[in-house]
Amino acid sequence: MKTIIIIAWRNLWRNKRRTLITAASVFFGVIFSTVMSSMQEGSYDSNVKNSVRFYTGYLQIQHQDYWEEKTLENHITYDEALFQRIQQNAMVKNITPRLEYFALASRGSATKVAQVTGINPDMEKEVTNITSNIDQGRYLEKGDAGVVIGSLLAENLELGVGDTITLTGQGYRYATAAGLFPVKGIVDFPSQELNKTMVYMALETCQQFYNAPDMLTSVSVMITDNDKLAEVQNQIGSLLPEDYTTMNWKEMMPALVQQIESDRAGGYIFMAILYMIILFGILGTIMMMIAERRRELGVMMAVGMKRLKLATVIVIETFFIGVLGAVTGILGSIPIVGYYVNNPIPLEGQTAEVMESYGWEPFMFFSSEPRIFYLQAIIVFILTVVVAIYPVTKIFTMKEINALRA
Amino acid sequence: MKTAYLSLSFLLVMQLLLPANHAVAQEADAEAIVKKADEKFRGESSKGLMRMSIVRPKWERTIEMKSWSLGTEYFMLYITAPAKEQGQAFLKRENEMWQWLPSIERMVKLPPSMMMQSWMGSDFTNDDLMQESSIVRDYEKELLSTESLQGYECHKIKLTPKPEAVVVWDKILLWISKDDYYQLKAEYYDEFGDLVQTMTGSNIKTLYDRKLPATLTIEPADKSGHKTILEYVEMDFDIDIQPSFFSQQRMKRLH
Repeated sequence: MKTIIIIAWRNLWRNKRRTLITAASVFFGVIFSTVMSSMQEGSYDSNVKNSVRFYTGYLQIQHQDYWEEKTLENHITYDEALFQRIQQNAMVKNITPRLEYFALASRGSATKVAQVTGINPDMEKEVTNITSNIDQGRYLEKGDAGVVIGSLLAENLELGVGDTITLTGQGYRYATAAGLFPVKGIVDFPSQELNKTMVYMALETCQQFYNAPDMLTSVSVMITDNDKLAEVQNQIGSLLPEDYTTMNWKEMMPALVQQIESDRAGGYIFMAILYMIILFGILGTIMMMIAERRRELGVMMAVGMKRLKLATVIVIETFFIGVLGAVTGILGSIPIVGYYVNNPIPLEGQTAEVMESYGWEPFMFFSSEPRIFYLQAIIVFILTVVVAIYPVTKIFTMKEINALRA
Repeated sequence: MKTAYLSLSFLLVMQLLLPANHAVAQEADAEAIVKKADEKFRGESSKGLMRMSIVRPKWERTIEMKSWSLGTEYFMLYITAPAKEQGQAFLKRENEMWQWLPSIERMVKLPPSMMMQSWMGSDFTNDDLMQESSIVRDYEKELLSTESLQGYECHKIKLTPKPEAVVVWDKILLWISKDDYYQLKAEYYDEFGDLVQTMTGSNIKTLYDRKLPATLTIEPADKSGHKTILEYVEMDFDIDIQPSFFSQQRMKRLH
């Protein structure tokens, strides 16, 4: 076997140019599709992370009817002991309780609809890293009587830090909720939607405002590994009282999941076309090679080399070309991907606006997930196997006498 | 010969016109019925005492209030009970709606985006209160049939929005009693042809100078156990009231 491999290797370098050109086509194909998948996966990751961070969390604990009807009627109760049991799960990074309901925010005769969110300031900043988005003023403190509002809401109502915002709405069981709150800070999120509507309030203040003592609408759970989502969801689900439920981000944001899936499918089609071209490139080279070496093969067979051995040599040659291209391609793409993972490409103009309106950061992100790399290796391997069918059948059907005369 | 020809053509023309005439007459009928019922219910101006019960599967809540109205342009509400809500007032003036919140001493203007939201948690929307759209002005009417409801012979009338009207409903079915023009029932349909809510008028009694269904019950079609009952406790119609009464200054001083 060792001899066969050595023969195959030497055969390859008998015609350096042919080998290198074929390997180069694989090399560029691998680089291109690695960088492309890395970019795709990177942007999905970042979209999910952004959405999960600000909107839903990876998981949410809710009252079982809350998702259908988002009212304070379908609330859960603040339960310190339960939270501690959830946080004991090693895969749970952190959690944050929230009380979310809409209200009208006004100043003078200007009124806007606002999403009032009662938070535990300490827990919330761990989850959303919201302190990094504070644009003016300061973040909330525990039991704070003031609010932190979104930048566009502040702009629309002409509010600055230190001004007073009027919030009115309906609290629990439609009690009128009305209050005046000093604006302590202004947050600027990547999402314009959040900037337009968000009003953060300390949980206790919010519960008082909505006449909803000890009530929460959800607890957001961040986990360490998105791949363990289902497992963590089950484990947390088993801790909860009967009329509570858990929802994961895929259930809460089906549109995002669909968008990612359709985009990914598009990427696969593109990749399939690319590799199809490479496939025929390699196949062409191999066909030429077999034609050129027809006489040589005939001689080998005539002097008694078994067809199986001869076929193995050719298959290994094909495989080497693939490996050469794939390995150099993957090695070549690592610095490119590595660079862009740390330095995402900023987007400008309309694309950026569209991304921002989705609540996504306007950057082209890259992913360095290992799967992207070994996927290319697997594809190239399959390609070489497919290509090898041709020389193998050729060798087995070859008539020595004809081959010798070639 | 000429006269014969003329009279023949006259007959023909008449025949062509008659069914059309008939339809026009019917439409005018429906128009008049709806208008009369609406006017009777509203009066040119009014002042009253109302009680609204919001019924939910697990609980119930009752709000009492005073109301003033002038035409369709001006409207004011003052909440008298429960104690926690007392002193709140709502003002509709032309196409603006304001809320006065005594607890924080602030006047809040309700934005157009809030019009389809529930009013005080009831099954009425802010839009119902505002009466921005009018069944008299914004809809084409068509008499469908005669049906008996709560022991009254009623006209069943179909309302479809006029092309230029900005309205929520795609179709309204109205039942108005033949005598006395009581609005006994209304069904509201969305653009998919689904029933969204039903309003029934009952408890016919004398309010001031007229007999009216004094209780309106509104039930959303898709939420069982949810309803809102609005009862007119007292009502004075065609009172002497000026547009200047409906002001923000007045809102703060109501009692």
